[in-house]
Amino acid sequence: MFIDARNLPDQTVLETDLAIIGGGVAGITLARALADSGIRICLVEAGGLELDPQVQALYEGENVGIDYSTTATRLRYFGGSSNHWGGYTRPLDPIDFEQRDWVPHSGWPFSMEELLPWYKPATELTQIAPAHFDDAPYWEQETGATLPRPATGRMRFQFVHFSPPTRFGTEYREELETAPDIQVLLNANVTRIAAAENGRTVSRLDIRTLNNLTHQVRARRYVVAVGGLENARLLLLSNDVVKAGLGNHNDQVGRYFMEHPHLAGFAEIVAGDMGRLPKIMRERVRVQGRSAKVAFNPATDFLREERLLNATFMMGVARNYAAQPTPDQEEPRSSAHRDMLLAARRFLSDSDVDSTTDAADALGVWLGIGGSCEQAPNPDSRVSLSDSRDALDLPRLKLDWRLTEQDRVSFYTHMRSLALEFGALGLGRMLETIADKDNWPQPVAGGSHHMGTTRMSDDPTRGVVDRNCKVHDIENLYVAGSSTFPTSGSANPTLTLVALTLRLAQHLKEQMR
Amino acid sequence: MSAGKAVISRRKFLIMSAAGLLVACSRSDDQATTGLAEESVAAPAWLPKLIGDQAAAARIGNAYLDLHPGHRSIDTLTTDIERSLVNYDATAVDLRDADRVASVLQRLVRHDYTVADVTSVDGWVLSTTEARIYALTALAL
Ligand SMILES: Cc1cc2nc3c(=O)[nH]c(=O)nc-3n(C[C@H](O)[C@H](O)[C@H](O)COP(=O)(O)OP(=O)(O)OC[C@H]3O[C@@H](n4cnc5c(N)ncnc54)[C@H](O)[C@@H]3O)c2cc1C
Repeated sequence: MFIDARNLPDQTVLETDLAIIGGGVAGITLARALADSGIRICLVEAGGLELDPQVQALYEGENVGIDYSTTATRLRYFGGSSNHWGGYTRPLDPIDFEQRDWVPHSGWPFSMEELLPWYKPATELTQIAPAHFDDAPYWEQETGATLPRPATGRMRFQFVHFSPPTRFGTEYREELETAPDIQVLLNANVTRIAAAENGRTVSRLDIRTLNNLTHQVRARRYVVAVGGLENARLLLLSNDVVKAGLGNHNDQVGRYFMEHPHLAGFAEIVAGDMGRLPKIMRERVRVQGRSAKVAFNPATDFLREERLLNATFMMGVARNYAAQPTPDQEEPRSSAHRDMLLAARRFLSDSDVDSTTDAADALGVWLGIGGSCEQAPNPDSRVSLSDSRDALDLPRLKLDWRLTEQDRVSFYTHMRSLALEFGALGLGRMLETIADKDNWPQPVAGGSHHMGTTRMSDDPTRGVVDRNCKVHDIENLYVAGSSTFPTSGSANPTLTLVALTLRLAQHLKEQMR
Repeated sequence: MSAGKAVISRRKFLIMSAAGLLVACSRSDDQATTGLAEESVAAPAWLPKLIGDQAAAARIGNAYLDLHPGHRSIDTLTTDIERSLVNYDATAVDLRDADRVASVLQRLVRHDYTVADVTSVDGWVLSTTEARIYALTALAL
């Protein structure tokens, strides 16, 4: 059942078993997974069924670190940011879960094995099943193209899958609307998670609507699922009993904010022989209703040997070059590309060397590269509360996104690896276009991936939630979403957060039986 | 000095290199046989077999030479390339077989990328051997 909180009598109190705050990817996933469990659920969502600029404005924040939009990178209405996500989907890599002595604060409380059973149903929810992320023979068979074998020992190929992309609010709305034990409360902004006097249990949620009504939801257990930035903000806002904010006894809430620095325009590759660069390496290929594309990732052994962070690169054709230049291809960049393709023609083919100058129609292509890197967990990269206030008179979010030299060096090394791999395979040549190799290329954008601000750790002094995503020292409060990731890996986060949420659903089922 | 003589000099150099005699003998031998006055002006026969387009390669080669003015010598570049060739595959020392040399150089260029033996030329990440081949093109073709 869907209820509009703006139409309820003022000061309504709703009683339920489980209150889920946030009707985005994590909240909807959790509610669905518990739909038949006999647990009564109230899903409290700040927005309505469509974007409302007034509601969205509540996401405005103050920025004191790397330039970052806190409104363009998330959506505050039913379905959450899945209403405009790109659908790039891949699990984390096993090494991402490990405690790596060269990555400060790394290590999940469990290995990837623990999540494997949940990744499969997560691929179904994101509509990419059956997924073949690491299965080159499968894609070779399905596409009929032989993929090159990585030659440098630095890189490996994985396969990013593309969700339609699933709009969780649209796709699963009817299920939630008709589920007998689920109430969805729309246009209901949770302004505070109220703790009992002992500060160790949550007693209720305080809710405000933009037409100035206040309501409460009381439940046995509560799950915060308002997104990777807002999860931390809401805990910090809930500071009437625990002054530092709920779950923040050890000053961990909001710290370790991680994005995936997404870099475009840092380098260009030219490739000559399209016959040797299978389509799936340069564009999405559709097989049996699903699409996928090659991602270039660092080889695990290379990461260990060189003590680097993870990364993902993908590429796409930015321009085709014919044997004869078109007038628009006479500018310096195209001329440089063309020169390289012409000069290296013999090195970029697999035919035995001969001295003929066969001028084929197509000279080659310019491949644009997108890079997304892991950033090391950094306590100084953080979310806190600003002095300015939103329309509900709540302190806005203050974001201080920071990157480190370690992040930059890793990225740069992997960029080099990509150049070496293309050279070693005789596929192409890389032109590095970074103006200043000692600094981050500008602009550094994120991928709208908000991670780490309520990180998971078995040690309450080093994290906000435990391995079951329960807030340390609070009996009945959980967090769902990528804010629980202790490290970010380089894979887009949504598949993993869905898997973690399904795991949390199982845990709650057992606990609330 | 004729191109043929230069090649013989380099062959001798390379055979010695393969036999491990290079460190002891190369300088005096090379200087005695080739000498500055005997600077080669001819391109090795394998060079055109590796170049897709001479003008384009020469432009990249000139950019390399601007960065490495000390390499502005056909002999130096040829010797460096052939030395790398022998180090990579000692069975390819018969420099009269241009096709074979070109084929091994093609593999050597890929190998350079595999072992990260690369240099930067106007932003391009290039195999060291490949960059020298372009520089040689700029000087000799
Ligand atoms: C442009 C863009 C492209 C993206 N592309 C990709 C991609 O290709 N691949 C990928 O893996 N990920 C991608 N993402 C990230 C992906 O959208 C998020 O990982 C995912 O939506 C996070 O799910 P969530 O449930 O934690 O948060 P959200 O989906 O953001 O949901 C949070 C929900 O909480 C509600 N809420 C917020 N505050 C309150 C409050 N106080 N009270 C009640 N409710 C509240 C919001 O309205 C929202 O519905 C992209 C994101 C964006 C913005």
